[in-house]
Amino acid sequence: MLILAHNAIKAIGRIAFRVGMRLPMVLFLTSVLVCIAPGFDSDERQIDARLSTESIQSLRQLRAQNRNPLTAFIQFVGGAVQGDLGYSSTFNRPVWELLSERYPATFRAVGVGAFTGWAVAVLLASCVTLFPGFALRGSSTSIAGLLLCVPSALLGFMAIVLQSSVASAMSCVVFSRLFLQMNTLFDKASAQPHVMAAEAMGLTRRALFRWHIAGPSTPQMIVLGASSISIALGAAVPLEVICDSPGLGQLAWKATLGRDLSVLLGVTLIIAALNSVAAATTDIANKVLREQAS
Amino acid sequence: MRILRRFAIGFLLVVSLSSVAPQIFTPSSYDTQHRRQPNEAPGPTFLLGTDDLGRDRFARLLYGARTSLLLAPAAALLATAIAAIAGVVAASITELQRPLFYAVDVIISTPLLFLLLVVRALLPLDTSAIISVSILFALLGLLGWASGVRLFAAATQRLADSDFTIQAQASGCPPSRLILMQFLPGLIPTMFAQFCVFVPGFVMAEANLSMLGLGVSEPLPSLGNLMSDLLNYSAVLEQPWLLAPAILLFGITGSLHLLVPKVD
Amino acid sequence: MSSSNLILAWILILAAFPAAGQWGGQLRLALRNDPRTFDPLLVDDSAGETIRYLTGGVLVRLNRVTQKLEPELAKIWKISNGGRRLTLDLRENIVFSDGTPFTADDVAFTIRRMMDPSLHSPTGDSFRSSAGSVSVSIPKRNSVVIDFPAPVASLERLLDQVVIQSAKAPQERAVLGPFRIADHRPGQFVELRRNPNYWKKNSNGRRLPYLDSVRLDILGNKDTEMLRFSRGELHIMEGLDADSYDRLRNKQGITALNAGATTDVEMFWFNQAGKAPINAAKRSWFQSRQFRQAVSLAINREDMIRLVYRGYAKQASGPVPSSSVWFNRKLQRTRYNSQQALRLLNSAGFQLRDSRLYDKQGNAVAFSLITNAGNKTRLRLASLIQDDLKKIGIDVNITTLDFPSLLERTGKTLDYDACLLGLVNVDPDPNAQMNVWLSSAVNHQWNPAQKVPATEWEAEIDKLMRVQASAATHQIRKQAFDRVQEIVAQESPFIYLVNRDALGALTPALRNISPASLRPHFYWNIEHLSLNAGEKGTHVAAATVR
Repeated sequence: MLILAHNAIKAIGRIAFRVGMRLPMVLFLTSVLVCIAPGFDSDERQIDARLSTESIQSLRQLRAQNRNPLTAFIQFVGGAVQGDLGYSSTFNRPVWELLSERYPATFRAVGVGAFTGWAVAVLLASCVTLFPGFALRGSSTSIAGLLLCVPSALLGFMAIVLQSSVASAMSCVVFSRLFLQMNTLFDKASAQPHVMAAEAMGLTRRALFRWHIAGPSTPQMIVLGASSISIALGAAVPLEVICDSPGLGQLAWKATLGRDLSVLLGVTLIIAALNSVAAATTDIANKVLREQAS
Repeated sequence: MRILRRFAIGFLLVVSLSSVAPQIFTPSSYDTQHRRQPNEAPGPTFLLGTDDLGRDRFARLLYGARTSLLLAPAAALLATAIAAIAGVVAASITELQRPLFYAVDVIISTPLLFLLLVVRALLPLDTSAIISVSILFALLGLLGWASGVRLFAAATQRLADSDFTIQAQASGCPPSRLILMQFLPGLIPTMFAQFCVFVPGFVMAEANLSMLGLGVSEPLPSLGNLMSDLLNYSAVLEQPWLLAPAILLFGITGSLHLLVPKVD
Repeated sequence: MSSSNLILAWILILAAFPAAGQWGGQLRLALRNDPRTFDPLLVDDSAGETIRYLTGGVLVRLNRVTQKLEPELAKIWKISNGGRRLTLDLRENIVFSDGTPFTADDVAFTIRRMMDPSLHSPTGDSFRSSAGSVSVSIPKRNSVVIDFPAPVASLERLLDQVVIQSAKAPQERAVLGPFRIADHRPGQFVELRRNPNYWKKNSNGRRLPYLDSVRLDILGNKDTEMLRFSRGELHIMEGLDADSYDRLRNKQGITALNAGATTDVEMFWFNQAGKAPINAAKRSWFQSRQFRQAVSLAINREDMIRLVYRGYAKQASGPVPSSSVWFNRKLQRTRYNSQQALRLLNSAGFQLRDSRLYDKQGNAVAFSLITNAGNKTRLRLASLIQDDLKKIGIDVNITTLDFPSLLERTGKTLDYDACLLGLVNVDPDPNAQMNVWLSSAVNHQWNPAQKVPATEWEAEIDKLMRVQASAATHQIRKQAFDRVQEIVAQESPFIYLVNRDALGALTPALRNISPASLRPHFYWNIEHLSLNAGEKGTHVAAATVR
């Protein structure tokens, strides 16, 4: 029990360290890219015909003062350490307020969507391996292929038409991107000589699958699980925009259109943290599995 | 299954031919506006009808397929190759694993969309549509590889732990030969599967990026911008032929899936 | 009398005499974005303007149908001293929504705050006709005198945008309009509830509004809004495109309405700025009046109206629509004529050879046309322009940019050839466009922020706009602005394309709807609107208001 707790604390420490190492680089790169992107100091309000020249100049000056990416990065990090993530020029509100209002919608959709997509991909790929035959393989490959060819925005729209949630659309996106890999993984494992030999010697399909297909494929399944989070986070933007879900993805989209650096840094902070945690967890889990196997 | 594979190969050949030489399949151009015949239903003159500016939808589908099917697979190939090489290197050379995974995590989390905006801004405004979209797909290929690296690394690790690898190492096989002769060929099914995911993904990415002015410019069609019509679901219900680009893309993706090698 | 004329007649009668409606109910609309601010003096986005309109009490209101000014919180107003002094007599016994009395102090507070230069109020900027401060005095109870340093054109019309704030309480709690802000869930909705102290009453003496509340759902996506409207979750849908309008016209249980041509105009212009980083050949083309006129002649606007707008638009001849009182009736509509365009180009030294147009120096005429990404209508217009100009040998390369990138090019770097955009005219009064027509203005799109007018005609426009801004009578203003329109038609710095119609759809359960071409098109008389909640929707033939 103590050893388990010790290992768990060690693992959490390692994850935290890895996240801590990645975040500053991601935030700095984001700062650089947004500041050098065209239109950074442009504001839609500048073309309001009612505004006087002085008001327009004042708007431009306000935008231009954040142009230095290094200063913007240092200010953000310094503020973040004290709990202040800056002020949004697009939404006219503190960034932390925007993030705290919107993260639950995204976390819910990503959590449910990523897990469901991954689980359905595992389940279907398992069924295809356990019950070989064209009908099941053909239909599941067709469904995955069809979902791959449909834009995420359209999947989101169908979710609204069917009065379903963003998570359901997200799970379709994740499933379509994972199923083929999962299927290939199990097929490769099934084609191993020792598996074929065991099958020829009469071992049941179920036992084969449990001990010689799913088991050795676990590290890659974990990797696919981690990538399901990245896929879901990537799909969050078009899905939330189309479904009008007030989450981080919609926030990021509007901030991109408005070149709102503070909001973009805040959203990137959360997304980078999530991606890093998922990746670090995968790497540590795979390392543990390898150590146990050897 | 063999019949299906043959059908898939035949379908891909026909699609490739129509992409390379669309004029064989239709005499119409993709940009000619038949202004007296907008929104026509499919008929003998216009096989898939016309759009709201009177342009032949079938011609636009063929030329759009050319744009997307020449560029998206090239970008997918580039991304797959980089991801595979990075994954293999990460799994084979322990010293490089940490920096590679670090770079991958940073790339996945950074909004590289702004890099695309910067590159677009650097291009002259009179850059032709085909050149600017080629550059876009090249960038997608150069930036889109990161998500597949860990998968290839895990697959390579599995190969590295297998008996034949241990035997080869014991026989004195150098690491470079092991990578070239054992690991990379062993990853072909995984690479093919990843390629099949990247192709429609990049086609969709181009469509999504057109919202930011990064897609294909008028009048050049692409599968992505043709599929933006699908968002108007009432129009799709009334004009089901609007689904043609999605069906074509599905056919291509499905055919590629059927050709995925099942064994190492 | 035809059925559509009959419907039109009824609508106009209803506008004059709103029928007594049913009490209660919640009206549901959509907003495109979260409002950036609830401060009415700082509102600069459409969502904020909607909230301001529904909650704010103004001194004078512009009737959106008759376009005449009507007394609101000010029962009498007088302009004197050559347009420099505004005297207001206020209504009495009015209270804010929080119960505090409305007095002259509140008007004075609002005006002083609005005119504070450090606030940068867009509303305040509209009143700023020159440097100098504004003084406000209260000579007697319920009377306010405002003195401006220089005449302000169309002063009383501008009061339609000035929402009176309480000097004693914050805006969220104390309003004078029909509704007050009750709830705001960012990213989801804004809910307004009836102002229990609203000063207007219906013909039976009962306090308006009829509706209990208004809920504004924040829906960034037009397709989602359409879906929810079709399901009956929204009552009004504004800003429909032609495709959606035609689709809804044929649906049972929905009233589709066309409120007539809006003041919004689609147009494009060539970059004439001397300091623009474009090559000399292009600069010479764009600065050539004959070139611009020829391009305008070569564009088939009728096809645009037919194909892009399905007939729900009018050809634009200038900065104001033909339905506006400011429109110069003498202006000739530009008729599509590619042959005449070519003749004009020939006279300017251009030659058509092998289907390509060349200038005097032998340069093939080609330019890029930028427009904002994500706007399907504008992209179709650009495609039609590209095709039309191809017929006279001009090669147009369309480039879509996201809005900030586009603004950077047109406003800062000036690194573009031609730009296709729309002008949203909240107020058709020419004074509202001062910052477009003055050559020194940053929004003088084709050549912004000039220290000295680059051409004689721009200098003349500067002079005329200043004349109309300071003129005492409407006649002088009209004369000056008529001349501006003549110069613009001749010189074509903007190539005007279309004024689109205001298309919308409503649930038939709504009563006292009176469509107007000015915003807000369908609920400008919100206090008189009512919902018959129990009534089944019946299809009403689409009506057109001209």
